[in-house]
Amino acid sequence: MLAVDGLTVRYGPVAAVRGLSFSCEEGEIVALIGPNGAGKSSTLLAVSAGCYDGAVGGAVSLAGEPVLGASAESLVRRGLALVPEGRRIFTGLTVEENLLLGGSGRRGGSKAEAVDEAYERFPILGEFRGRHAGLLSGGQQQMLAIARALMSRPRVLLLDEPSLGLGPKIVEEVFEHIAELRASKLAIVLVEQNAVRAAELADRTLVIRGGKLEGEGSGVVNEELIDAYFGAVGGRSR
Amino acid sequence: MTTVIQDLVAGLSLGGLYALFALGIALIFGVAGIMNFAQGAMIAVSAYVLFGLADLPWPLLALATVVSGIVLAVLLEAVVFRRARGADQTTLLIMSFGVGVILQAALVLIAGSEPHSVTFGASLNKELVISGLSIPRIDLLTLVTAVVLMVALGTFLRRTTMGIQLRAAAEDFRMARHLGVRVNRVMLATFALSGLLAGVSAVLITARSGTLSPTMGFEPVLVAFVATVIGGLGSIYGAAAGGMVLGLLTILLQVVLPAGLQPYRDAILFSIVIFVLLVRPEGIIPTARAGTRV
Repeated sequence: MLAVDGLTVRYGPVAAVRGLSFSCEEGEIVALIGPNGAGKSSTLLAVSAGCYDGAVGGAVSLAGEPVLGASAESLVRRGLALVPEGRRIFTGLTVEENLLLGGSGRRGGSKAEAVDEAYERFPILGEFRGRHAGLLSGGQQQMLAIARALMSRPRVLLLDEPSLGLGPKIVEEVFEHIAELRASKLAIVLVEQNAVRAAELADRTLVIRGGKLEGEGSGVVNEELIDAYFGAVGGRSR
Repeated sequence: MTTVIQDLVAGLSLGGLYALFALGIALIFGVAGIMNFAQGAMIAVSAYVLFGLADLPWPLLALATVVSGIVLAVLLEAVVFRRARGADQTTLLIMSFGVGVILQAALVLIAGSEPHSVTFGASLNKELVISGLSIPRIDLLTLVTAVVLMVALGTFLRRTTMGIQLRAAAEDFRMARHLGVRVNRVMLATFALSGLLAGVSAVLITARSGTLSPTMGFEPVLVAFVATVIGGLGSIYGAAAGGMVLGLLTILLQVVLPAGLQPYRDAILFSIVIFVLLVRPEGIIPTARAGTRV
């Protein structure tokens, strides 16, 4: 569904992503983990046409169509949705207005039905539908950000640090919701600092360090992934 | 009591007019990040359209003036500002200054630099006497127009898809794009609204003063800038509130200041503005988030 080939991102003289390649298929969750500054978020921004300050190269295709260079709004119409780091919900708008806005690039179907579906999936949002989104708790805001992205009926969902700034209980709840999304046959790319939890959730885990792919695994964080994460040469010392 | 009500109507009327100026500036700043100093020239161009078509019946004349403001604003977005999208705010500010100077120079070339007088709205300057209250009709018209436009704008922003998209774009333009909001449509709608406000302002200013000149937009844009800063830069509702406060304060000072201090009215007014900003630098109704544009 999503194929990234030889992706590069440069901020002036600094190369944030260096020839990264990966794919994510329908119904699959791919986690990108790595230390701070590894290039994970830059990768998501580049894929979603949100890398405004950097130069992006390589190739990105969505359902077989090349999309690198397309505008952010046209990517939504082609089926790509982003849940950005820090959530970036519209705090001056109500919960319902945030959701309706998420349907701006909706690929068919009724927006009103999609709002009802969002309330079904996240009942707490239904309770606060008329409330300003800025008054929601961090966890509720994260759920709103996910529900808002789903409003466009995406084929690919990019999630950037969904657990950032949330308490452990809320993180669990958010991860449960992400796991439930697997059933809707979405291709999900998850960038996450909570590497262990992300690896448990994902079908495949890719370790990025210094803008390059350093390791790949599935299901759990094994020694190989830990070595890749921390950059150990020739295995960890015991 | 009668005098107080008369002064209040005058203050609200002036405040309403200032709110219209400020909304024109705030809409474009909020959404596009452009402190549009060409707004004053847009008002002047619309006023000259009114001057040029003065033979038309007044409803048509007013409509043509407003439409000219909308068309000019949309053209400016499509031809000039769209090409600079993504540029930093300083560049956009200088661009808007440049556009304003060009429009003003064009007016001088076409109609000369001397002020012109117009008879449009002469009857509006007569006073309406209600239960002992003597209120200029133009004050009532300005007040009603401002209230109607603000209510309509508020309804548009709250109840329509485009309005919600516009508010979202004003809060976080880039995120709005990531949700599929069509940037060109939102920009055009924003400039069109701003042009509508410029056109209405032109009609009201001309009817109030009976004169027009290529530099007539300078004072409105200055007032609008101050009002948007008091209201909270980038805040649409704040701009309306800022304009209203500025208008009421102007009339209040006019009423309470002794004759000897009257020449210093504006100095005192702007001193109050500075004080307000020292106490509340984010303005009366600050924006939820001043995000990076485009």
